[in-house]
Amino acid sequence: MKLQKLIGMSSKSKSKDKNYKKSERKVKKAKREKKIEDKNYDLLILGSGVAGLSAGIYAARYKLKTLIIGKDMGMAAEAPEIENYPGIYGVSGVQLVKKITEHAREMGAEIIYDEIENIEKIEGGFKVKTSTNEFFGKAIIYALGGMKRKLGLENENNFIGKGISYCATCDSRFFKDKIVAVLGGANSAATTSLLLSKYAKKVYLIHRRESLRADPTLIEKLKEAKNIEIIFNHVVKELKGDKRLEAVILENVATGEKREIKLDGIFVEFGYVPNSFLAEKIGVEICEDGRIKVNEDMSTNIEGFFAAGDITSGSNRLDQIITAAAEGAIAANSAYKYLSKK
Amino acid sequence: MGKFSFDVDDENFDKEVIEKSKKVPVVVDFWASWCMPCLILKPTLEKIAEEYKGRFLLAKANIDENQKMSEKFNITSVPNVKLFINGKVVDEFIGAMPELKIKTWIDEHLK
Repeated sequence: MKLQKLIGMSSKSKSKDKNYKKSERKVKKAKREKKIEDKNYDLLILGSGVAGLSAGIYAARYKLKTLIIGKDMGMAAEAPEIENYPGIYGVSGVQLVKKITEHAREMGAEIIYDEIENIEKIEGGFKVKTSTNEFFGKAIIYALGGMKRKLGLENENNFIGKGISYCATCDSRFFKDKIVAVLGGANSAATTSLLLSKYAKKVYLIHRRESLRADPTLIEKLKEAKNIEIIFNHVVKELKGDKRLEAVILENVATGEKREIKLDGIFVEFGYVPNSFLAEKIGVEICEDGRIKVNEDMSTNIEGFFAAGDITSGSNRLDQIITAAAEGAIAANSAYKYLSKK
Repeated sequence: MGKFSFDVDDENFDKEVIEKSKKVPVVVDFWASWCMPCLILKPTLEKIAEEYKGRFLLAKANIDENQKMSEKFNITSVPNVKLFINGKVVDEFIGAMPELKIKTWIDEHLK
């Protein structure tokens, strides 16, 4: 029956006269053009974390047709609790970023969640290819932050979701009354340890150096927590377990001595690798540490290409929510000035 | 709530997921309100479920409110997405994925 229908349709289409075909082509062309027109923006903001969203708020207020493309809510959304953003003491990262997302939308910025695959410099601006679409922007603000650094051990992937986690706010509640380890020594490792200490029976904070890089307030809290034990000068050399992670082998970096710790999970907080690959591909200048080299106004060596947030060399490399928001605002202001001159 | 997606809980999991998966594949999204990637992934899965018009069903399981099923399926990381066919888990992924990758993942099992 279906086949007959198809054959019927096909013979009908064959009998269409030339005029009909011509008008059909015109409609298709108009539709295509409208589609392309809909994908044209004054400003494309790549990244939907705090830097990108803040840039979106400012850009929308400048009445720039703005599209924010991102795949998540950025690093800030992973913070269990935020204590150093003025006026919003004690909220979680997810709560704050959700608020900023709503704010950007309310101001008029469009937001889509998709994977960005490529950026191309074209006449009059940039073409951005995502996994499902293509967009055109007269200017770009690149705010893609970074990707979480992994442990780098051979069988690490086997234990993801089976004991290894990279997101404390997502997974800490699953470790109630269990033994866990947090790897790292900066603020994120400290806040993750403190969050886990609320649920877990025992938290080991394992750091390869002999002192932590975390803020003094956090270090004080770590010392106060009764179920947190800090192990300095050690690294994880081996992951052990059958179906789930069951133990890790630690190595003392000074003596080479090894020991095994039985545990139920580890949280990797080794910071991030700047996500600057797509920018580098089109010739944006990258610093030795992988960050995008920006000027005071968040411009880069490529005309019309701005950057903001943790990805940049700006703000004295102080990667904080407040600096990400500030850089987003500066970048949007600079993009507005740039587009006004065009 | 879309036509092809619905919430499930400890009480109706067997009926809504296990039994239904014997007729049509059921994707279960184990999620939590405090999990950032879950909040990104959920609307994407809902959109895909509507686009696929019943070729698979999407069941959304809030792990905070339904401890039994998260224990039963050993959920220790969210978002955790499991695909049920004929009453059994045939594949899964952890963490948020972009739309196209999710579609490719589902298509593999709908062939």
